[in-house]
Amino acid sequence: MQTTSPVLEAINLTKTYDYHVTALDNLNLSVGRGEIYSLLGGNGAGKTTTMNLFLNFIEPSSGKAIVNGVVTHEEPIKAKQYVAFVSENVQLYGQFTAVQNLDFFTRIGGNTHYTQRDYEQVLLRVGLQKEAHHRKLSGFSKGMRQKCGIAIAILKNTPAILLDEPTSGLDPKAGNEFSRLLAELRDEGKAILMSTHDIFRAKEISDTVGIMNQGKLVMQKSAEELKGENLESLYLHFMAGYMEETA
Amino acid sequence: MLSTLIQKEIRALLLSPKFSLTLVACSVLILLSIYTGINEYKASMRLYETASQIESTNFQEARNLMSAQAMVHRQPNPIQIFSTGIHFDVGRLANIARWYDPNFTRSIYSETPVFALFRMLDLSFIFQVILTLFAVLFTYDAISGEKESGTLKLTFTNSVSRAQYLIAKMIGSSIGLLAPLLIPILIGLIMIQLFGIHLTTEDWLSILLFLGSGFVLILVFMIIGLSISAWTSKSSTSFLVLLAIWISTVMIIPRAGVIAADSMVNIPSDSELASQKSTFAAEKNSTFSKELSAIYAKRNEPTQGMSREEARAYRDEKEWEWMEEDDKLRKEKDAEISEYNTKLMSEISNKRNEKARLAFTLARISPVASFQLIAMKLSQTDLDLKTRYLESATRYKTEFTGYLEQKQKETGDPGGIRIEMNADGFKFDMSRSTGIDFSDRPRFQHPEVSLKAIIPQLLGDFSLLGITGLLFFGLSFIGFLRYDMR
Ligand SMILES: Nc1ncnc2c1ncn2[C@@H]1O[C@H](COP(=O)(O)OP(=O)(O)OP(=O)(O)O)[C@@H](O)[C@H]1O
Ligand SMILES: [Mg+2]
Repeated sequence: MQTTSPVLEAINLTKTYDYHVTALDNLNLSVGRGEIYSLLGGNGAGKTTTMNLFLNFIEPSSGKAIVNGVVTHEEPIKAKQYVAFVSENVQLYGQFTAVQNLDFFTRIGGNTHYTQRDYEQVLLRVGLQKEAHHRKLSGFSKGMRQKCGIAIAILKNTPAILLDEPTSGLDPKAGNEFSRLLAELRDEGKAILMSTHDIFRAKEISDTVGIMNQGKLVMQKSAEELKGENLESLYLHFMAGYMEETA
Repeated sequence: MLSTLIQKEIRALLLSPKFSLTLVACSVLILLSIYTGINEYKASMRLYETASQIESTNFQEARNLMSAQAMVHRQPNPIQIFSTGIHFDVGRLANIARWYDPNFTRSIYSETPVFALFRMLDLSFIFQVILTLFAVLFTYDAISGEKESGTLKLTFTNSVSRAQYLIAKMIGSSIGLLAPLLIPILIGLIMIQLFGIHLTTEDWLSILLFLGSGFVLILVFMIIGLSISAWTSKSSTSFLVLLAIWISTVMIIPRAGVIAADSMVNIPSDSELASQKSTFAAEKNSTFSKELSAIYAKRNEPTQGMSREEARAYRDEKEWEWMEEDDKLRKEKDAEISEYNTKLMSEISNKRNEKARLAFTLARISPVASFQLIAMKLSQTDLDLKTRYLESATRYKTEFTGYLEQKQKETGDPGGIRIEMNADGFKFDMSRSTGIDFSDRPRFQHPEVSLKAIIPQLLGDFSLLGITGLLFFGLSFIGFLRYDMR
């Protein structure tokens, strides 16, 4: 793990909806090159809000999200060059085939040099069976679409990757393959920020784990610090502890 | 980037069922409309040619001035294949006679009312009603549909600017709709050639301008669709809003404009007008006959006390002088009447113009009305068609009656029946001269308007269409800037 200038960085990042719902409260985190950062947290904790702020889908109420040194809400078009995103429910064009979808989304991602073979290779790498490559997306299951989404993110070839519950909908085998894939991407030097509900996988592959509750980062530990700890009980502790505090 | 986005738009459209539906429906409708247009034009042309033929045969066979009957036939214009305008409502022919103003009667609709029942399915109508609807169908879900399918979010995780995206949507859907239209239109144009309809360069230019304005109209409706879809997050909402806009712009506003103008400007009806005219004429005629009786009485005064023979000699001697005097008075009276009629007509025509202007101004809130006005101007089947022909016919009447008088002088043919009545009884004097050659008669000049004269009249409506398009594109941009991409 490298600590020189982080690729993804949130500084006092705050988002308030309608002036009273605080979805994100003064978040500070950073993800460097070759680092996987997992965000844990219950429903409504603010994970997706964090991702949306990094992608400038929403404007921060205060603070800033930075991608590769670019403040996202100041130069969104530039910032988006450096980040790829996989949502919890990847949606592609149903009337296009997997390869056609890949072609379109990588092209608008700024990569025009890929060939048909490159697309097929990446699809195999993310575990989409060969027969499906030239089938229309409308017949794909959620997991198959998820795999296409991951393939698009890989092909975009950016320093940062944001993953919002990417494994939702993946079967156990695909989940394992996905973990291996993430490790490979980290080894290529990507900065990866992932939100997940899968505590075990998070502990297995993350370099850093953060736990969020009601818009706040309530715990952050490195893999070193987590060694020998039971993350599940930590998670429950922080969730419950926070509940008691607010109750 | 832009080309990738446009390519994707076109690809997606080609694969969508609405594309094939549009292609089939539009091809059938466009070809049908051009085909019926060609048939109608050829039928009108046949009628016109036969009528002109009959007229010239009549002149060839005419032996005297009485039987020399001139008629004016309206000449069809080939652009009416695309835009019939009021061609079928205005009468086809007018009789030219010294005794009354020319009036065009026997319109196609009055002779074959079943046509009027369904009106003509011309390309102009298809543009206004069908293609605007397709335009809206093509873009109502341009933005909201992508949001619903979730692809908008993934797209905008990339360095795509909103302006780029909107422009790509616009270009992609216009190519997707306009390209398939070109095919049947092209076939239609070839059909016109195959049917042997002669088109001048000016006709071709008019057709191009007509098609161009139709495409602009479609673009405007596509932009309207795009902008509503950029202001709504649900396609169903966008569709409902657009349906309301379509109904009001295509169905309601143009008609409402005309109805409103009708209630605002009051114009006496044709029958009111006729009664006004005849009242004035009757008054003038009765004063004229009173004057004449007074004059006759005065003329007969000197014969009192004369013998029968003397009185007759006196009258014979004075006959020409008196006739000329009478004629002069009659002509003065007729001139007064016709001056009054002209004044009345010009007042009416001013009012009509004022009303038409008002109606058009109100109707032009809808881009469809602007297009219709452009189309009718180009095919010369606009509202002024009747006036143009009436003016030409009136000019022709003057020319033709002048010609007849000339012939009358040359041949001594009285040009009618002259009945002389005196104490000896009646004396008939009929046209006796035969074999008058009418081949040198003046011919009717069709009121043709050159394209050069038409184009400046189109600029206003073209700019209106352009402004509406730009306005809605601006609106779509504002809507899209605040659009929630998630
Ligand atoms: N558009 C919105 N308007 C108002 N409040 C919102 C909006 N979007 C999110 N929120 C609120 O922000 C908070 C954080 O939501 P967020 O989606 O970030 O949670 P999450 O951690 O991703 O949850 P999950 O695990 O269910 O995906 C929630 O309380 C939610 O109600
Ligand atoms: Mg979420």
